[in-house]
Amino acid sequence: MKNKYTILAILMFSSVMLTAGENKPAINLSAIKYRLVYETFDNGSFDICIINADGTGKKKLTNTKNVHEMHPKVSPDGKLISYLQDTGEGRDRKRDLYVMNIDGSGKKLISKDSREQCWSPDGKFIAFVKSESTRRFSLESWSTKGLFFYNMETGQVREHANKTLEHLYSLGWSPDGKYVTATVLGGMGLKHTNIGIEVNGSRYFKLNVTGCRPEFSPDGSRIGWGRTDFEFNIAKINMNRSVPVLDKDKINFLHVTKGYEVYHLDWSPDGKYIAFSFGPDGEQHVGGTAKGWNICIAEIATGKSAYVTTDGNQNKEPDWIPAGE
Amino acid sequence: MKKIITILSITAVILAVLSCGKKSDTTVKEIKTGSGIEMVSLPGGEFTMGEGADAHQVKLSPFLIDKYEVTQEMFKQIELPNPSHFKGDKNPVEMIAWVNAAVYCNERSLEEGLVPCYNEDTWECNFDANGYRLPTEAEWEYAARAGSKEKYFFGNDQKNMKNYVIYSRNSSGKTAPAGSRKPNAWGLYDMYGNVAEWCNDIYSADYYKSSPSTDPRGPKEGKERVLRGGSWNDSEESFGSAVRAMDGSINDACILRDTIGFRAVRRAD
Repeated sequence: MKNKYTILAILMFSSVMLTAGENKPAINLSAIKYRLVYETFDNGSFDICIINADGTGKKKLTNTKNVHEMHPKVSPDGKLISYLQDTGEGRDRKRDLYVMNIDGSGKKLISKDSREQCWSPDGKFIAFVKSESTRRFSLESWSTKGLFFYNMETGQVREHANKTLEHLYSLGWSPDGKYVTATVLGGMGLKHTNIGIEVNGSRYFKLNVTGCRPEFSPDGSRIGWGRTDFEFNIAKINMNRSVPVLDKDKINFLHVTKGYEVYHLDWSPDGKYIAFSFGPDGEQHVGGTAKGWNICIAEIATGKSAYVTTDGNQNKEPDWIPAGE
Repeated sequence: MKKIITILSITAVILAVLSCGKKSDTTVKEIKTGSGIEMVSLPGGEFTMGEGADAHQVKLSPFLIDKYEVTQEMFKQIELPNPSHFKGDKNPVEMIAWVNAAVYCNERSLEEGLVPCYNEDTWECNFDANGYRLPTEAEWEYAARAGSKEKYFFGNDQKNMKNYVIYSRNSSGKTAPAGSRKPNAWGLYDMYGNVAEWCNDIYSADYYKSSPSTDPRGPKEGKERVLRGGSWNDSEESFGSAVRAMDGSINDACILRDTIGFRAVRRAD
């Protein structure tokens, strides 16, 4: 029965995962030695799971009925996971930033009313933004203010020098440590775009990328992002150039048919694959309802792709665990 | 004789009641809400909705409607995040998803001690609640027409548009402070232009064929919501009291537009 379900799932996947108009066969996931963490909805709340790339060895790292644990991000040494924890419901919901060990033990509060975090490449800092309104909770990714850095060694929080930063989401830290990238919506006079922000300066600049959620490849030479709800682009990037991403370098890497969405692209530690969330029209933001969504992997060189999970339990926000773990 | 006097008296009373009713029904009044927001109280009435083959009679109950499009200052008052591209306290809120317009209505209701209309899990609107909500498509058109039967609330001459509308020819590529042009006959500003306005209704091109004649509230199912009024980015041809539009940016931050805002309504009683 399990085999039948897997085959059915792959067939469905092949029919909707279209690259340049042609179907791609599934890839051999068992050849990928890395593991992933992701969020899944089970027993009435979101929890964080760990899983092998081929879909075996799934294990829940959190298991709390009335508390949502989401948006896991693994530290560069693979030993820690930063994540968001939501308590309460509706307008009184609260979202806080936590860290735990890779086995789910040792949960520790980092910052209250915080979200959209990412690690510095040396693992010494976590960048995050604060929730914008204290009057009522918002699920909107862009409903944020400021940019902050938590020092893992001292526990001190430093606000970025540019105090005008607002409405940032989907933070990423460049592998050279110099920039944080983010999507911004309706902040700093910008409509909806992607920017690079100097970590130790106050300047920010556009990446020349339309869409959302840019993610650096591990060597920092490329980024991938969601150009729309239903497609990923990949391009070379040079943060020292006035236009970091050139139009001529943009490649439509993957797109899905109408009625389905792809989000939360994350590069594998060796840069050969991306993991992502895929499913029928749903809510991609942290805590959003995304019934039928699964974690998938695509091979950069071939565009071939396959399911990692098949249960459709609102599986989102995959993050690779580096080999060091 | 006594019988005749009685009949005459009853007739006089009925006529007086009808007369009084008619008088209050046709009164358009400006009011200020508990939180200081200016609204216009509109009488119930019957009007021709749509034009050409779509024209049909609709009867509406009385309601209150915002005099201006919801501004960024109004958003700040209740501490909601302001997603607008063109910042300015007096400018209308834009880049607003339909669900966040509904959230604003609920928060404004709570601020004034009213019962919120929207269920924030299903986004169903409780029309019996006394709080704020988005106008139905019929309410929007009734308010925009302000009793007019022509293409525009200011007549049929497109040359007058510049006096009443912030649109592509005079917008300088952005929104303007709310109320920068002349209002319609009922004192409502920016019913055309500045930002297109979300309505409560789900959009269906065929809805008029099956819609009820009294207080129509839109189809039960669909993915897009009705937009009315056109925006700063639209050309002359896009405007008119009967012009319908729709958009799918109901809850998706990736496709929000700086041409879309809204105004709120609530029950008259």
